[in-house]
Amino acid sequence: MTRPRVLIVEDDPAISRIVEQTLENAGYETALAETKKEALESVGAQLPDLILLDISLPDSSDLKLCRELTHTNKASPPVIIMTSKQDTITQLRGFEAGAEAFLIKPFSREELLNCVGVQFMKA
Amino acid sequence: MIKRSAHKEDLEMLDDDLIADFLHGCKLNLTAAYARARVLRTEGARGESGESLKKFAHRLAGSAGIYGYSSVGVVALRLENLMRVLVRRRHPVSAHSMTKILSLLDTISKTLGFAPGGPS
Repeated sequence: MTRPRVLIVEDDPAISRIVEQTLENAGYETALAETKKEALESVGAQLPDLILLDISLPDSSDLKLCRELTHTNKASPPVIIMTSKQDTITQLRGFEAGAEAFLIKPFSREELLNCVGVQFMKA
Repeated sequence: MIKRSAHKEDLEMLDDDLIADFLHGCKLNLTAAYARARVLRTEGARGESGESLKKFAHRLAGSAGIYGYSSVGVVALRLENLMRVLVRRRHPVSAHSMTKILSLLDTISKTLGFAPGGPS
């Protein structure tokens, strides 16, 4: 059986490692990217089923990468934005940029699994 | 449907390794954070040390909770907010702000099981 593939785009290894392990333990296949460049390369090489995206990367800030991932590719997978910004404006901009959901840092592993699981229930 | 792994004990062991790595990273970062905090009084918060301290606090605020250290995340967020204000100001860092920064770092250190004043 093919495991759903999740691309984790996060430059903080303290977060990416535990997100990776939590998702792997729950039966997902994961891939990691620490920069915008790595994320685009990963998506180009193998389209994931879901992208978890930190919007503050060393080579990309704000929502540019989210827009790039969702607006330039018709077959784009859903994007969940991981951020500590809880304000309505950021969330509205995120949805306009094509995000499906927000995961507000700090989040628990349970919140992570619920948020990711819901996306696959929709699919 | 997503299936959970049956090897729960193995997974918990892996979790312990991850937590140990997280704590080791915190120890290194806290040592650096104390060193940066101590030069703020002379250097001011607008320099590299202020930005680094703000980034350290931001990352810890975002990651501590998922490792089970929610209270550390809350204190780190306070430190991040304080650093945001100080980095924006042109004034030198006051003695009061310095005490506050070091006190927040001590709280983080103690909660993670390290000695206040910087992990040794």
